[in-house]
Amino acid sequence: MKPKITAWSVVSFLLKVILMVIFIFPFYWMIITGFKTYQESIAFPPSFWPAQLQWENFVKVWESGPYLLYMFNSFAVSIGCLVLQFLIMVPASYAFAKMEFKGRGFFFALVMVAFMVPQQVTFISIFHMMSRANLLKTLWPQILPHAANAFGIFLLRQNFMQIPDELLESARLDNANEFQILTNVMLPMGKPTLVSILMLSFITTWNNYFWPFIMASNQNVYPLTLGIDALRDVEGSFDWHIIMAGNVILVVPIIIVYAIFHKRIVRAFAYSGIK
Amino acid sequence: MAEIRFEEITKKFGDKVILDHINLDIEDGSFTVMIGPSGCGKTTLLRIIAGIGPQTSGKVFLDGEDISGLPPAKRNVAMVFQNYAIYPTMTVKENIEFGLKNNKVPKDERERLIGEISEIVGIHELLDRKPGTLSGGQRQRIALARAMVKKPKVFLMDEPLSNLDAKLRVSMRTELIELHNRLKTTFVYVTHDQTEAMSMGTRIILMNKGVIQQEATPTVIYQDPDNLFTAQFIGSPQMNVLPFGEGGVRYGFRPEKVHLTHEPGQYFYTRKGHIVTKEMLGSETIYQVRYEGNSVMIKSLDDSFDQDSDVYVGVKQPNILLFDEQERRIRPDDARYDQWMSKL
Amino acid sequence: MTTMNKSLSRPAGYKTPWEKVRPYVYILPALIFLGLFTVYPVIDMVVRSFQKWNLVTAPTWVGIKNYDYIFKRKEFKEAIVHTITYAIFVVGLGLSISTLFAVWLSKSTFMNNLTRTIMFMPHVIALISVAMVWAWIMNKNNGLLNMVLNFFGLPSLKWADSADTAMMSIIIVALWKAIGYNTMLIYAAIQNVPQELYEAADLDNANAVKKFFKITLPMISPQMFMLLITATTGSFRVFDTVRVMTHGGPGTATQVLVYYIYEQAFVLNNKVGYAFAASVVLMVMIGVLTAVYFRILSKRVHYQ
Repeated sequence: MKPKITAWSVVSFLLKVILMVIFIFPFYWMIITGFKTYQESIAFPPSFWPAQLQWENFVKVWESGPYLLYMFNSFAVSIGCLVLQFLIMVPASYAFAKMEFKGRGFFFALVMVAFMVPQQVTFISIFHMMSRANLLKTLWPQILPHAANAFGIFLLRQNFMQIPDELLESARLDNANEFQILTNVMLPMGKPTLVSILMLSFITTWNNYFWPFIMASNQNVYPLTLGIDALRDVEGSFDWHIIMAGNVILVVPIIIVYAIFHKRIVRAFAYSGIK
Repeated sequence: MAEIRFEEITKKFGDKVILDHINLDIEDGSFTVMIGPSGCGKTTLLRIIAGIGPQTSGKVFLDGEDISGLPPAKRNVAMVFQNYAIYPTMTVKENIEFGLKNNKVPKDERERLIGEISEIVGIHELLDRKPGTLSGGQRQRIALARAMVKKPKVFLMDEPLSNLDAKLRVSMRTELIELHNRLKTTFVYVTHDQTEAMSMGTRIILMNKGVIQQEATPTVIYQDPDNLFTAQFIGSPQMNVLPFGEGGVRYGFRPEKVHLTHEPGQYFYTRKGHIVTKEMLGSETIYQVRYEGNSVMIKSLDDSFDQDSDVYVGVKQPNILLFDEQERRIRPDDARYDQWMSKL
Repeated sequence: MTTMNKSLSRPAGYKTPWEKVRPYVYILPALIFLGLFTVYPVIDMVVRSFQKWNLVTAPTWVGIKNYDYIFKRKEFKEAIVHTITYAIFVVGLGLSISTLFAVWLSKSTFMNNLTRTIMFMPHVIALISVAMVWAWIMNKNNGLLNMVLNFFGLPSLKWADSADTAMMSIIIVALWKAIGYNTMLIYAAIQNVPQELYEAADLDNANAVKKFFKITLPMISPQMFMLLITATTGSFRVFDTVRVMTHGGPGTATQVLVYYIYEQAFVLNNKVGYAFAASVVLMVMIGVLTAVYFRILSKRVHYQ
């Protein structure tokens, strides 16, 4: 039986197309503006494809500041957070999920309370702490405060708790020590959750603006987000084609990664949001 | 050589007593089945042997050595878990190999052992598969192989057949018996299924509420129970137990030991009753007969009696068991035996 | 054999010192970092909210003067009103529109999956880029949106540059970023509703609207509630779009709590005490909502 073509199905199809345009067009507009000349970018009527691709916009962005350094900083901070989070989260989640000890409930409650505290209320104290420790000219203020991922610990503990005790007992009978149990039994089983948490962490840190905005005291420790932000102040007036070119550098890698891994990424975000 | 001895084993969870001063010997080379209702402490006792759920007090000996404080891996025992505890992220081979690797067994020795065992258990073609793709029966075999490959002194099994379907359970039962005959190692097997216990065990340990009720061969457990609990736990339908009407002493007889007749027969114990229900099970028939305010179950090969008709119930004297007010058995050598028997 | 004998002498259930401290060693790094960067700052914040301080010279105790001051000034009250207005629109409109989309796109067809996936994309993009591209699209002189309005014969708007429309502009951007994410989560919740319920409703001759209100909505209400709370606390933390699009202006039209705190602490230099007092207020607002969220979350996980 062929699907019936009704009036509603046509309207519904068109509405979906419009919906997709609404969500994809701003990115398209960002990218093509980044390839236009200044004149073309403000022309009326607007052009929907650049007359000539202006690659020199990107050269201008690149020359307006140490963008290679910004990029390095973004990577260093994102990877640094990811590694520290992994190292801290895994043993903590294992202990909370599978070990008996006095104060377990209290300490876990502490982790959960920590999760409830947003960084938008702690940033002044942490800024002051970092300034006293003389760390403001380094990347540490952007990495260390994110090292303990409270929600990650919660999710991974949830996941570890679902692993039957039988498996751990069996491993003990198989003469595995606690470290081997962690690496050979727990981690392989927690891998999907762990990958989701870390992927989320990377994207969040890469995209973060508020935190480096507070903590980065000079250009040498700017991540890309701040570097792009700084484009608005270049030459006083707003050169939107340059600003958009800068955003292309920040956004396009993530769009490409999303296009390839969207299933995983959606699952990761959805998992943390609802589970 | 692997005999297990428990001395004054007690296990508590908080204030709850799970095992109460257990003293017990498990013979070398026996197929010992621990059975009892859920919560009786049988699995707890098994886990104490393995060292994965230590006792609160008391000692465990393996071949005369005190292993009470020894970590699980040092006890030279292997366990098959109820849900098999197969590591889902490892292949079948890696599962079997894991313990060997941890025990630093050289590679060629590992290969030889795995080859040998997987041949015996019949999982040779499964070695490279991941557990997720395997059936219940196949998982069961892998769990067995993983236990066998370590050549342990004792095999511990915690309801290993309970997750299989009825047909597979029967065939695995036979295989386990064959395996025990072949290995001659001590097997300690926990189950709540009396058919499994009776058919597989060379010794049965019947437990209730943290206390051992009786420890004997299947035949003795069935024919010569020590107490009312044992008498009623083993056998299906369960033993009919009736009061004398005075002093709390009771007598009992098994449903299959009753003879049904239309006319009164020459039995030690004869009563006239009325058939209330009749269940045809194929080869045998279960009747529920009521008399003197009692209701008894009778298992008979004869299906010619009709529901709602009168019958005579007859039992021979040796088939009648007596229990005192503490629910302990009154055996024929007891002074009270003849006195109570004469009242029937 | 010697090691064996050593362990043989251990009583039952005995734990070596290492076995006793191991769990604490495992959780210690997490506790240190959470203590240093969450617990300590919160205590510091509460204490300093009762002090007058400029980040440099020694602080002095002023009691509840900071609270007294901020609650008497209209900027702070405005910041709270703006924050709550923003949250109501972003959460209220966002969740209603998303629910509509999730139901409409609930069948797993190629077209629906594609639509949902594309709608979700803004969520993984840096908010600062989202804010910038919308600032460009909403630019009062050369922005595309005004060109479109003009094309239809409508007058240009000043969007983020007018006190009348600045908050609306920020809300539009927030909605555009959040709707795909919400839709995806609600869609996931709808997928978990047993199909038999709809089949039973068909036999009971229920129409689509009835099915939505009598089956879908009650069945996904736990997830909706979570989403409601997370979206609300998220809205209370709004900063990036305000920073990029309006700097809290024009005037104080888009002054929100976090931006207010930031300005008190870092722009107007000797008002750290006010910033801390405002932070305490924000934390209480978020804390209460999150506590409710976790109570329900742990219950749900427990009974699953």
